[in-house]
Amino acid sequence: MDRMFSTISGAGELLGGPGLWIVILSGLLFGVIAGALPGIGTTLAYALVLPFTFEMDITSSICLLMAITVGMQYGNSIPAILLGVPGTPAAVLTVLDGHKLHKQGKSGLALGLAFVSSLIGQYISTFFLIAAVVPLGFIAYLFLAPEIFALHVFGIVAIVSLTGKNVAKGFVAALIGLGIAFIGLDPVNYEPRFTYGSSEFRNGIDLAVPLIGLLAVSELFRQCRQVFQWKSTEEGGFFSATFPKLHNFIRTMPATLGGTVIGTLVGAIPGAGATPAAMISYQQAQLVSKRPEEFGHGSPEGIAANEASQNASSGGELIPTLGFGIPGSGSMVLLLAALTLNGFVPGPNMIQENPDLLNAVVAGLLAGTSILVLLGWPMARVMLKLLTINRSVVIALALALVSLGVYSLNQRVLDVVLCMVFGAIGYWMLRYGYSVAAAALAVVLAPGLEANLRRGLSLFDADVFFTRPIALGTLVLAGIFLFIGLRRTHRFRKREAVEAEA
Amino acid sequence: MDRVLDLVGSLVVALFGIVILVTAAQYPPPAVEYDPIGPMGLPVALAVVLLALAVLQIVRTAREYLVTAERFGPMEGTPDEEEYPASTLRAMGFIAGGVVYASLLSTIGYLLLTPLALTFALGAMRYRGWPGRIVVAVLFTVLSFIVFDMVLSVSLPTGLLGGWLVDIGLVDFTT
Repeated sequence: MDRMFSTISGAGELLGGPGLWIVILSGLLFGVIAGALPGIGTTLAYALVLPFTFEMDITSSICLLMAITVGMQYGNSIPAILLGVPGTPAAVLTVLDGHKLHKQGKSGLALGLAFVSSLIGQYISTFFLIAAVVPLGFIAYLFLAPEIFALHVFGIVAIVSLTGKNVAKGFVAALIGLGIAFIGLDPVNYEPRFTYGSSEFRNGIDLAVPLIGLLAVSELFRQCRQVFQWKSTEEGGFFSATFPKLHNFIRTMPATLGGTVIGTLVGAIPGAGATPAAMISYQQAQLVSKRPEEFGHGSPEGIAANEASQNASSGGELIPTLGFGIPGSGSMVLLLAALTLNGFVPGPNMIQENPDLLNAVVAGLLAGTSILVLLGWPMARVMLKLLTINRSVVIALALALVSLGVYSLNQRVLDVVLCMVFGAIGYWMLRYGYSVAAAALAVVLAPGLEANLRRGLSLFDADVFFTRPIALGTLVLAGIFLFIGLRRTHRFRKREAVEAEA
Repeated sequence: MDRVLDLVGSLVVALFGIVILVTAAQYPPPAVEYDPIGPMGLPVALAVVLLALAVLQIVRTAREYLVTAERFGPMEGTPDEEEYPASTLRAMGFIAGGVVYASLLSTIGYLLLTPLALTFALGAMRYRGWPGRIVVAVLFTVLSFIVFDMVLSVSLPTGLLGGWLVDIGLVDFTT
């Protein structure tokens, strides 16, 4: 408990000056805008600002990224309700009920529920985050080289197994990511590898370059395939919405709280994230609801469960990312990359050795959510106008901005060339079912994975991964996730074969 | 999903694995006892797994192609939006354009190349007419130059305009 309070008071101390509030406000506004624009997911939003965070101190960088997350998870509900277009995939179920309520003339009810559920989900999951991560610091000393190697393997296996329809392709993607990370200096002996005599690659490729290429540029290339505009509202950009009465929130509170718990737990599973969290929460809310027939036809509980869950999942995702150094989603990969590039070593010791990191995360989440309390409701109307922005302009300028950002890392044109090449590789991966998230995660974890494997083998006997219980347990867990992934792949193939015969 | 292209992709992956193995074979074995697998241990192991998975994918895809006699199979990747036509050529154009843009950035310079590239990009995305595209492209270039070069002190490539920019005092040195 003392550590929890010290984390919260540490976060409060960071928020003493106006500078950090300005950063958080900027991140929140950017996040709400990006969340409202369909196609700009959290990963792309992070990738767009990541190069600029290197100009900032680490506390401001983290607060900015956290505020963006808070903004995005709220922003995606606005077009979902008002236009029937989810800002991000996690809001797809908000479309079902929210847009129906909007068409019934109950826009205020839908927006109000989404707004309040987002806030509750975000606040409570932040406290869950502190409660989960702080105790992990006490057992961090148990994690030596073999355990950390096992954790990294688990992280990669989990994200491969739970994303994509083909586990084999997922592993190929992860191995490609590891291959990219092999270029440069060996993490143990510091001998150059796979440089082919080039001095440019002697120190390897800057971590941010393949990550932004694989996660952001690839998605932008994929979006260039189609030319269309986001729908414009029938009302010409105006709608009438009054804030709902209190009894609406009381009625949906069980769904909101249930969604928060499910969102946090599911979000904490590497590879899961906001979308499955929202879907599981929605299903559960329907199961326990007194009015299950309303779900899909304008159910307030459906909106509350979905929004609380996807907002809570962002706190949940941070648990394995900060607690174990295992990012569970593309955006968390980028967060971990930002920390790595600032000299932090991902792993169970990261928070133990740098408690200010957790303070900064909590500050960003709580302050961002608190600002949202004041600005969230008025922003809904403004965000609707934003959807009249031309999609073609957004994509072209996003590509230009990403290129600028990558160039600004080291002021090297080679980085921009490489980013485009990785973007092309990522585009192929997206089109043919290879997991870009697994590839990106492998790039981030590769140095630690290899260094801990080799140190483990040099310090202990060769069977160390089977004799140390935590390492063995983690590898067994990885095996379980692998089994789940193989079953998913098998079921997908079976379903496709049946559909093909039909 | 185009099974032929999927096969080609798997072949490229297999080739990547072979390249890693061939490169690793040229390195001497570990010189120190405390490092049992050395710098090439993990790359070799992963290249073998990569090769095996690539071969598995090749066999699987080839079998599906031969059994179904259909070039196009179920989508395994991220699907396009259903209501709108998709153009692989446009995506390829953007990829090629992106690589060319990055390659020429040093030579031609940010201020000349970026508005050109953006104008064509907006044209490819069918944004309005040429005047509108040029306005957006030039506006973005100027604004971004001010923010990055002058405010954030990120020296953008000056290219062909280097000397002139130094003469008028907009930049301190050519890059």
